[in-house]
Amino acid sequence: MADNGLVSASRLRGASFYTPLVSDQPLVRLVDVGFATSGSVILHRVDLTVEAGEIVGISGPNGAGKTTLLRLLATLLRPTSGSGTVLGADTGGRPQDLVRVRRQIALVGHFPALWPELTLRQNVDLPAGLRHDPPDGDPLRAVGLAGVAGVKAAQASLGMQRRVEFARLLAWTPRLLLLDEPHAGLDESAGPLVDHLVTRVTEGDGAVVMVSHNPNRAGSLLTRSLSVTAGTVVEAPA
Amino acid sequence: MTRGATALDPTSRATTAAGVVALCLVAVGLYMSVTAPAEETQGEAARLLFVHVPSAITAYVALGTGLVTAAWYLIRRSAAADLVSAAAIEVGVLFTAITLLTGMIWGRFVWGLWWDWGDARMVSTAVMFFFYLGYLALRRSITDHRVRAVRCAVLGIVGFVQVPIVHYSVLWFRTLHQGPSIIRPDLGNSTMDAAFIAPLGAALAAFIAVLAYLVAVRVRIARLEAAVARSTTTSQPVGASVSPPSGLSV
Amino acid sequence: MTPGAFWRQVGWVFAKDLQVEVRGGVTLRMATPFAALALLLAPLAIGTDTALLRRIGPGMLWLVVILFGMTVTLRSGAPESGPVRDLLTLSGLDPAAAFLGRSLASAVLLFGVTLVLAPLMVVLYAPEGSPGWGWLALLAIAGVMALGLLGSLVATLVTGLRERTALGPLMAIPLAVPVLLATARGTDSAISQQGSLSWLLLLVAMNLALVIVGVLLAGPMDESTR
Repeated sequence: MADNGLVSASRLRGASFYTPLVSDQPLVRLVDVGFATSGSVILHRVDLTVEAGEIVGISGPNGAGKTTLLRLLATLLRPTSGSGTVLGADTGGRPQDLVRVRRQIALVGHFPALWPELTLRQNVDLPAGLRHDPPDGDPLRAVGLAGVAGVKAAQASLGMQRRVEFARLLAWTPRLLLLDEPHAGLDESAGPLVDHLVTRVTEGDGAVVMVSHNPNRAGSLLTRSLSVTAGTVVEAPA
Repeated sequence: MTRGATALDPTSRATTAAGVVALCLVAVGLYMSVTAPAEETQGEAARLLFVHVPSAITAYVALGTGLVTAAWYLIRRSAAADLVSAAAIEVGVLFTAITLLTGMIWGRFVWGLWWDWGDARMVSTAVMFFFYLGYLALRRSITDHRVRAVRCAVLGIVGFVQVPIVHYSVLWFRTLHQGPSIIRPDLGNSTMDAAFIAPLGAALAAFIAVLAYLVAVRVRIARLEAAVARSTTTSQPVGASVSPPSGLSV
Repeated sequence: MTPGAFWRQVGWVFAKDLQVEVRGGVTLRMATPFAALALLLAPLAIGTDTALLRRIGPGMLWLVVILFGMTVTLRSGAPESGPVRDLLTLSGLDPAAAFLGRSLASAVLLFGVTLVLAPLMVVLYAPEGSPGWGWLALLAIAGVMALGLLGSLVATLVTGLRERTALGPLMAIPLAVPVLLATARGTDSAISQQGSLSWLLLLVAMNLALVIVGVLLAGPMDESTR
């Protein structure tokens, strides 16, 4: 699948511009998607297309629905209205159909996904065991945590926990990488780690969607900037 | 909603009709229970059984309805099935409570004890009652209606296993409670005198009608509650109401 | 998913849960001593009549295992929440495999609790008669397995709720009554050399029912915990 960044920019609002091509489907396509819980509407009328090779930045005020959008893209939430496909699978589809695509999606969320009782080493090895992706080399060394591999995650700082999550991603390359504030808690020296992971994904014909409030650190990588405002996705103001 | 609109609402009419039928049947059942001959050994206390036995059967029916509609919900994801399931179980809990209370009062007269540990059915009914209180509590503590429907459906299915345990406990454990007289493993051979079967049947019909009426009312209330919740939810996304901090001096 | 992959996932969850438990140590350091305390306090409330204590000893053991064990399995059998859960879902973990793995790990923990409490009960209550050890072992294994499955099932239903610590036991303990009856009465039968086959069969049936329900409904339950 070729990088189609130029075409996709025109598909930002509405699906009407888009003619589906069997051989060249976008990685993500949401059409008029909404998400609501019993009490409140979080997202509505979201149209979004992401092509292979894109690195999409998402900004927006607190509570606008950025994290919910990422979880929809990860197929962890089902749209309550509208329709969408992620890596070719219907986001409202049956769980057994989603299993195949879920294994190609990585979400590094706002709160680190670590077992607090376990060591940093165990926190890298356990998920690798579930995925059957034995890493080559020591991923903890690559992220600079080999010296503290035996520390319990509960005692590690936010930045260290983030690095553990990135270490897991060194063992495999997702097609769709979803990052929620990846730079939060990371020191300056760890910045290139994010760049490295993002580049690996796009070079492997994948795409990245990154929520960030910090354009200085994420800006240079992005191929496109969007803003989630009041529950819908719009082109970010320049 | 105006009075006129309520009267025109077909579900409301059906509910009212069910209520009237239930009331008539209760009157008939009551009359027959009071005029039935006194029982040889138990005397007047036996009349309590015209409430006790039908309410127990009605509780089984209600909880069974809860089971079937819960399974229906999981298969079809029909919101109506969820509401009926919850309503049936809620009313089933009420009938279970009536069964327990009348059983205790009857026991006080006939055995001289409010509570008898030797009675496996009494004990298992109490356990079932507490379980279904848990069901109602679970329902209350989940706000999202889809999450609530799925979890309550699972619990409604799992919990129903207690109904056969309650019913057959008198056979499985040596116990004080008399064995089943009406629904027996060897079907057909009822051990009851015809003079008692008639009022018992009338009372059962009345209780089932009351069950249907209460479930219909409960479903209506749940529907109205959902409508109120919808009307108070704005279609505006939450994010639209978050504004930048203001009025702070720096 | 192939059966091999499914059972590998069950094994993975089982090993992971035990690892977390060994590292966290709540069962060993808190729940077990608390349950032991209950065995110690009960005679103070009932009265220290030796003959009575001899009779109620085995029943007390199982009551304590069920009441306190349920708090263990409602915690250890609960599915992960939040980000870790998302990680597992995106790694392709089958909800049914997760349910079985969690239940097995909880059962092992409960078996450990029982192994600690049983000798304590024998010392404190001095029950009479020599038990049939084979029956006791089978009853204990089938009993803790049923409790593990039940705890995992109910824990899934109360995941993420603020009221879960109060709600879980209210829903789970009534469903555990057959386990109490089967283990306690089965132990009595084993001590009086009568054999406990019918009680054991009750537990086996309960385990089967819980496995079937849990595996069939794992998908919908998993969906409702997001």
